[in-house]
Amino acid sequence: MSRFMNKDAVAGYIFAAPFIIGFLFLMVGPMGMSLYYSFTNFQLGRVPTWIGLDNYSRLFFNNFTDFHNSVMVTFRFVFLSVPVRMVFGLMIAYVLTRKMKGVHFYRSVYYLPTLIGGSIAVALVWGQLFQENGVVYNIFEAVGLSGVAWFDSVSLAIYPLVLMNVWQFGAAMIIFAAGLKDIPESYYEAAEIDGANKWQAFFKITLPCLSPIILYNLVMQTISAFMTFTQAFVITNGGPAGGTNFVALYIYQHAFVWRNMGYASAMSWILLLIIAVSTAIILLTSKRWTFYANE
Amino acid sequence: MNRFKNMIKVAALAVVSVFVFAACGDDSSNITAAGVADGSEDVTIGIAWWGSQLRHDRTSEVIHMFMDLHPNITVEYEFFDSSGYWTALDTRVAANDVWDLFQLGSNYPEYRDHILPLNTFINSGVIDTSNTTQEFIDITTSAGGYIVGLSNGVNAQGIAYDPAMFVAAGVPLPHINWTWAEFEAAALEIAASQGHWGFGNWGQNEGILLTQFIRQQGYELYHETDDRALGIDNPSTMVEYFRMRQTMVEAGASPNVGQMMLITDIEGDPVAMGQAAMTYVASNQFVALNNAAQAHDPNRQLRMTVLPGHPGGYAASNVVNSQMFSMSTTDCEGRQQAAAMFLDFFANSIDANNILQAERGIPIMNHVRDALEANADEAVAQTFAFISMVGQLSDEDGMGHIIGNPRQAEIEDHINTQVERVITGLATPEEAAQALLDFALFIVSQN
Repeated sequence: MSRFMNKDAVAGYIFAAPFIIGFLFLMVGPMGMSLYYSFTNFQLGRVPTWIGLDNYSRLFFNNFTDFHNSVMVTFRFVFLSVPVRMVFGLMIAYVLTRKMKGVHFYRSVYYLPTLIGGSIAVALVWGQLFQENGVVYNIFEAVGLSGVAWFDSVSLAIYPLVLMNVWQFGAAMIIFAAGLKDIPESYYEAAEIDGANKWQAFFKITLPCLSPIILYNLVMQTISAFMTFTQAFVITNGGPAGGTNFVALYIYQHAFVWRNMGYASAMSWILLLIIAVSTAIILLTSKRWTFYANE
Repeated sequence: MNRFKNMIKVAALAVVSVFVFAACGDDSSNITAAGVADGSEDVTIGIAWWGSQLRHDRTSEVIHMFMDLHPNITVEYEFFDSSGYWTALDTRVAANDVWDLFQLGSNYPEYRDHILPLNTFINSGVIDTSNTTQEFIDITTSAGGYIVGLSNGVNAQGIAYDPAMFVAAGVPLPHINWTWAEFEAAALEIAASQGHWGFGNWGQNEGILLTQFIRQQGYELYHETDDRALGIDNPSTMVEYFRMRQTMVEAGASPNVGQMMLITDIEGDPVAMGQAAMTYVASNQFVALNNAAQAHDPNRQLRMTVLPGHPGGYAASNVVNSQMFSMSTTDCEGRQQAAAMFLDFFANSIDANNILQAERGIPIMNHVRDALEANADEAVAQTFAFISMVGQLSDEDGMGHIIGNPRQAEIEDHINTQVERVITGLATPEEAAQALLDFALFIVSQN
């Protein structure tokens, strides 16, 4: 026993065990189960029966599924929110990496929404802001525009959710700020001597040097946007008429509201595939626009 | 090394034993029904329900009363708000570990696999039903004669309205034979002249209202005996409903989708807030709604009437099971016996029901109803009278009790989606009705 415990490898395994056990039982196990369930008609509380590819064919070829709508709505959300969030993050990071008083304070303040933004409470407040007779509605009226009933419109309901997502640009901002600090000051000094103005310096030095960071942020932000759930669940519950019924929310409804666990599992795997393909596309095209100083 | 092996053996045994005994809960597998009944054997049962704080307080008081009477029975209880309840129940369903007694509503077909019918306990007299009528047993009886639970009280669907708003608009008050056409005309007129909504709350009740709208024409949405079929085969019974929804929202006579999102509880109901003249109400919630209205203005007095109907059609409102306690399928006869004894006590004890005060609905036992009615306040008395009126009307039309389906939650949620499509102009009423029918047919075919 004591010789067994004294081997170096054993100590290593013991220390790694919590992660390995968690990984096997909380990640690999459930994923394997969901892959199996996706080929069954599993209803929570009933015995699953193997139905082959029926769930998948229902996803793609059945008229009575709102899955196509969910995928389109989710893509719309990703295309609307990710670029704006990145631009905001970069802008604020750019301002906050300059030498000025209280910069640490401002950085913390701008990071706050990222810390609290995913919570139910904030989503509830956000919903109230954009409701009819909410603050935003009344501001629109006060400046002479007629109030916009955001949540009454299939096409407009998504914008308050996009805005809420953009508002949480803090994580991207911090990473951008770190990247900005890594660009050597000498590049800017050389450019200044050559007569470049601020804009030229930004587009010719900052953006190229930052491109690997942009790539990282783009991938991470895209993945998280595809998985958006809380805002839609709390504020609109997917409505009106499915206008904000993101895939993650639709999966939840099928799995836990209507208990169609098999069908929901199939949907999860398609979502995984969509995210993987989107990420692959970004990574493949990145060779054309990222710049590594050491190449 | 050997010690290590032994530890693994012990651990494995412990894991296996959990699975072996889980079916009967630790060591209760050999408890007999007779032993529980005569008090010589100890047993523990679990019970859960959803509801308001008032319901929790009263129910737990009754549970302690029962445990004082039967010291050998321990009742462990859990309670939730309604959305938390279904999550907790579904988790237990997935783990095949449902409470011995659990509260269910009209959605019981979804949980049918986990319900133990009460027929044997009623036949043997453990649950005494001699003081109620067959009709009240029928409302919790599923196809095939299985008694899926014992009703905790009955309700009737109705419309609550603010008579002052009708008078101000010069619109005739609702009457007992009123039609959907009269309902719509009144709502539009009140909206036009008063700037209030005529009808304030569809939302969560859309499923009930459309199902009832179909039923009033003599059809059932779901098939009586075949879970894989519907009771209707064309969308014509639904088109008019969608048309009315669209017209009323367009005219500002009922809330649009965004405004509906703001209405989340009975205190926020537009009628209580003074923003609407009418709302849907289940009879056991009328008192709460009226209280909420009077919190805004003590002089207001709401009234309750039946749902609008179709001219010359079937009963507009029905008496429905508010909710019931169902027994779960365990194979421990001792626990079954204790659960049945609790159901009997809960339904028949006048002391218990004096505490419960018909908060779940009007009790189904005659002697309990008489005892409560003897010292009821005016609002409660109005609810009693309403139920018995609806009961008489719906007994006469011969439609029997409302049919459910294991997939009804998904279909009812889709009713909301289709209504939203009509309101937002994505579909015509005809298209929405057809789409709903096609969807429902497909979903029940998955059963």
